[in-house]
Amino acid sequence: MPGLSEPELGAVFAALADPTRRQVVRSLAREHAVTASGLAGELPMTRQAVAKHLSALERAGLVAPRREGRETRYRLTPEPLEEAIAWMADVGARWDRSLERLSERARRA
Amino acid sequence: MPTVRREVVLPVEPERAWELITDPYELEGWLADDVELAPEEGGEVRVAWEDGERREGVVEEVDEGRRIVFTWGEQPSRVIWTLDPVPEGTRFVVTERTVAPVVGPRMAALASRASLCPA
Repeated sequence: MPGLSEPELGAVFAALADPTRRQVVRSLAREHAVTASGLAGELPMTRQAVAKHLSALERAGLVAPRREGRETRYRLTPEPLEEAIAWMADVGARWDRSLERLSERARRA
Repeated sequence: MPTVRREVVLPVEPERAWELITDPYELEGWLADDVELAPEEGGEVRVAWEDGERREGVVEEVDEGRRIVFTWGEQPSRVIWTLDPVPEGTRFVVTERTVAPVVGPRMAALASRASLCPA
């Protein structure tokens, strides 16, 4: 698949396997750019916990930090998500084709 | 982990369905163009398609006539095939899901982080 390598794609999946991180991603999707404290204010977790999740998401390339004066704002960079969706579409399409051939074969026998 | 799940009801008895999903000759008629699969624990899986895509892996689990589990691919994914008798024949369910990556230090760090983080 184009863009991300297989291990990078694995990193995206691993980062999103955690339900709390998915919650962080949802919050980021609603707001353009937020600080860790801002996120902690709306999610049931401490600022430190949010910072930890943000750095895991950053390693997977799903969020990007930007310094603005004294604070760091995070925004969603959804390209890796699109790659993950593409993986599912690709794998799903291959099974669709295979199972269609299997059904045909089963009917013939 | 993202999962792909598909199912189909085959108009055949479970015995015939098992043959269709484990006999390499049958598998080459639907799964891929070139298939080697030893339906036993630890058995090798080698699959190639005409479009150049190829996967290699290993059989992890076999429940004769009912279920076979294998992993394949460079960034491995686990494939689970199950058969269930239904009035119309045999239901075949396919599930494919990426396996937690264990390639390279960055991935390992991320994987351990994922399991250590409270939900």
